[in-house]
Amino acid sequence: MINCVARSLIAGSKNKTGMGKDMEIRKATAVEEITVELKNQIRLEGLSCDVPEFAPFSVANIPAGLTEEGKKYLQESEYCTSLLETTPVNYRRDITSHFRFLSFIVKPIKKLIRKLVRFLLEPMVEEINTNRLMTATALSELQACLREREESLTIMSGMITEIRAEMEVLKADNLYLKETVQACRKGEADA
Amino acid sequence: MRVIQLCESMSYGDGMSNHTLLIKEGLRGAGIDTEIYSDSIQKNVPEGAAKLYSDKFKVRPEDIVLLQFGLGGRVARDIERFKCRRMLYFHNITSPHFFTGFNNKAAVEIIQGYRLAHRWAETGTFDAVLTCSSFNRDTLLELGFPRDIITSLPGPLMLLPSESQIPDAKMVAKYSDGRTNVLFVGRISPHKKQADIVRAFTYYQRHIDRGARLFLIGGGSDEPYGRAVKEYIAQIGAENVIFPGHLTDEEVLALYKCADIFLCMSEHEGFCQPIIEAMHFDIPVIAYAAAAIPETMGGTGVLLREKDPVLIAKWMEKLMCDDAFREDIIAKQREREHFFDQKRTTQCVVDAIERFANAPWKTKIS
Repeated sequence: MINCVARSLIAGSKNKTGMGKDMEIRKATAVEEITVELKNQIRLEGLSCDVPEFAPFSVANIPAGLTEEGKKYLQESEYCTSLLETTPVNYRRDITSHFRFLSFIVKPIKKLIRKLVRFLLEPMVEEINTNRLMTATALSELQACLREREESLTIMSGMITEIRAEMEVLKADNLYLKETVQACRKGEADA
Repeated sequence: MRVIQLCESMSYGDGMSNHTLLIKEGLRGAGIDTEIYSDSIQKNVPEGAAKLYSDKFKVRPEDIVLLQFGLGGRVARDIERFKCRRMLYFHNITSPHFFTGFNNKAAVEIIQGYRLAHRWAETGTFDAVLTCSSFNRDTLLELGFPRDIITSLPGPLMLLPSESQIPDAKMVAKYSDGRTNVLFVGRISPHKKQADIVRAFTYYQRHIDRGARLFLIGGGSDEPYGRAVKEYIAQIGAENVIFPGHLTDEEVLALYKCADIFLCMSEHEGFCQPIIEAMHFDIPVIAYAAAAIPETMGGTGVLLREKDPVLIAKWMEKLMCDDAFREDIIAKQREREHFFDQKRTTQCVVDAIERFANAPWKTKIS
């Protein structure tokens, strides 16, 4: 209430005396003027950007092989991170009461609630958020590891197939050689 | 009384490392005994510039430990064990949401860094806090640090190239061919939004200047975000986008000399030193107004409040075609660069530390 009254008083005084310091029309800088001109030019020419936006987390760009659970953790970690980012900022605001005559009740209650949130809930929330982020990291690392193993197994499997094929060829060659040797020996014996 | 600077890592050419070394020089110039201890020291750091944190050292109650804080790590976690006066130089922590999905491990480390800073604010770990921008000061206030112990100084200490340094001649010859060279310097990282630079540049290249080149100087091109940006470049068919990778000082100097425009779309900076470097080389700066960037630019250059690739491309065209306007921008940028004169900023830091050192125990500096 005090803030509202103060604001209206200040506004009133400014109306009487002309422009207050804060209300003065700021002289546009040259850069701002040119920016407006360029925007008008862009609008007149109907220009628009034909370069797609950078979207690394579109459906197509989520790491291949990530399971539904992994995607869920990735999205949740984004949310939790932004939550953590705002939490330390907001609760540092001064405690105010809209009704001055009730402030002797409202302010202590707000202080108590803030203390409860800070000491009981905040550490728990931070712990949960950190764990979720670490889980997301661990999941993506595990996925990468499994992909690598899969690739190695595929390569080894290919090599085994090649070796088996070579063995078959060698067996056939061996058999042919044996038959040739037998035929030669028989020929010698006949001779 | 000694001033012991602590940092996580020292690497030649790194902004925070240069800043720490310059503070050491400034303090020694003022006759103050000082040393740097770092958890890791790269081989390219000059011999004797810093000592390893693992080397045992003792502090006395009258000593001052000055922590250079950007993220966290072992040194930051150990700070409370130093029973002496403690100062913090806060370089700002990137918001973790930028890294989620690209590098969840980094996001977790950042969150831990925030928690650490928050705990310091709660427990009054530091007797004084220095920082280099109002944006950083506001972050400290949001973390809960008391206003009366925070001092906002005019910019970090920066080691800008001197006139005597010679750029790589081959690189200068290669890229001074009349084509427009657009530049951004900074680690390939999600919060620096190199992808947005690529998008605006691609529109400019497609519709205005087909021969333009874009240099994205900085490490990290092989990390997840860097790979995503490269895939994006392939997807949209952008041409002549160059990731030079590791460069020598002379090569970086050469690219600065050849650059026509510095384009910054970063969304989180505690100061953004490359902007001042660009001003030093008379390169007009176009930047997105986020975090500390408007403060760093101080009304000079071209500051945009929206990331419209068409508008950005039109601005690039304006700067390349309107010589008079371009010269005006460069002249104003030169004045702004002088505000961050190294001697002046070093003296500000040294004065702040001396005032704190000479003040009675537990008294805050102004």
